[in-house]
Amino acid sequence: MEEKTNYQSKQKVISEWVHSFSDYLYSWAYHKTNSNETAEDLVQEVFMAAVKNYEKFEGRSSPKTWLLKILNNKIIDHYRKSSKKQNDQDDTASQFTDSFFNGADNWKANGLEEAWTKESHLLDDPAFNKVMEICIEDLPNKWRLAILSKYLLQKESVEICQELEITMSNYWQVLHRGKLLLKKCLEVNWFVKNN
Amino acid sequence: MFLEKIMSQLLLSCKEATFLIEKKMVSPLTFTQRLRLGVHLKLCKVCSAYESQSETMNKALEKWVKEGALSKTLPSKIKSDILEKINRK
Repeated sequence: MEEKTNYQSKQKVISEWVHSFSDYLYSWAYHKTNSNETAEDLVQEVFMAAVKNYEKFEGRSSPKTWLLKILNNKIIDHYRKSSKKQNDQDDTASQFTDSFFNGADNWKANGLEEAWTKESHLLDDPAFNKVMEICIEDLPNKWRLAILSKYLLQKESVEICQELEITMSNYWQVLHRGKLLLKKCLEVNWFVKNN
Repeated sequence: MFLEKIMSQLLLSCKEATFLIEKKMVSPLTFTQRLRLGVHLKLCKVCSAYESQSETMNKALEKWVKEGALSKTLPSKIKSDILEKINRK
């Protein structure tokens, strides 16, 4: 009888978590995978895992932190499965950022330097921020993940490297290339059009 | 062309300079790196512009994080599916 009550209260608690945290987890999963469907599946899996492992949750962390940890593990699994595709994606993107420079690795100037400084209220423009969002979504997975972990989670570099299974100098390179891609995307989709 | 050759021999290339600009934002540079980057930025307008562009992008990223990056809503059909699965067991 007592066991049944426990089980009911567990169901009740986790149902409340669904109401409180599923949107947060979904947003997070979406940004990390860039796919609505994958994010939906992952969030479902997280709550099923929460039901299964509820006894291991001892209230030492907040439920939100615990659920996010489960989600992150699932995301890592998801990436392991698709790592070949990801490497190809990285190679193509690296070739693209290399093409911004000439044979001596100096800029091929594009004359847009001034356009960047013209708009002092750039960040107050919702249209610009929309373009920014699209450009972030366009980044290759690993690069988007590194940027997201840094800005969204304010994670320390060491932790990000562990999570992405890359070295520190790799990480600097990822940030560098990601930034170059963002710059290019903003120039093509914003500064050229609004210049 | 001649200047470009000297730059590539003695100084950082723009690719290396922009790399150090990004590195600087997460990790300290070595003394030599700081020096070489400083010299490069004095000489290269495009990289100086890049540095401020990069800061603009940082601000835009921070803004995106604050306003809406985590404001997606899980479709209610999925939410009710999950609730049903939890309470069926």
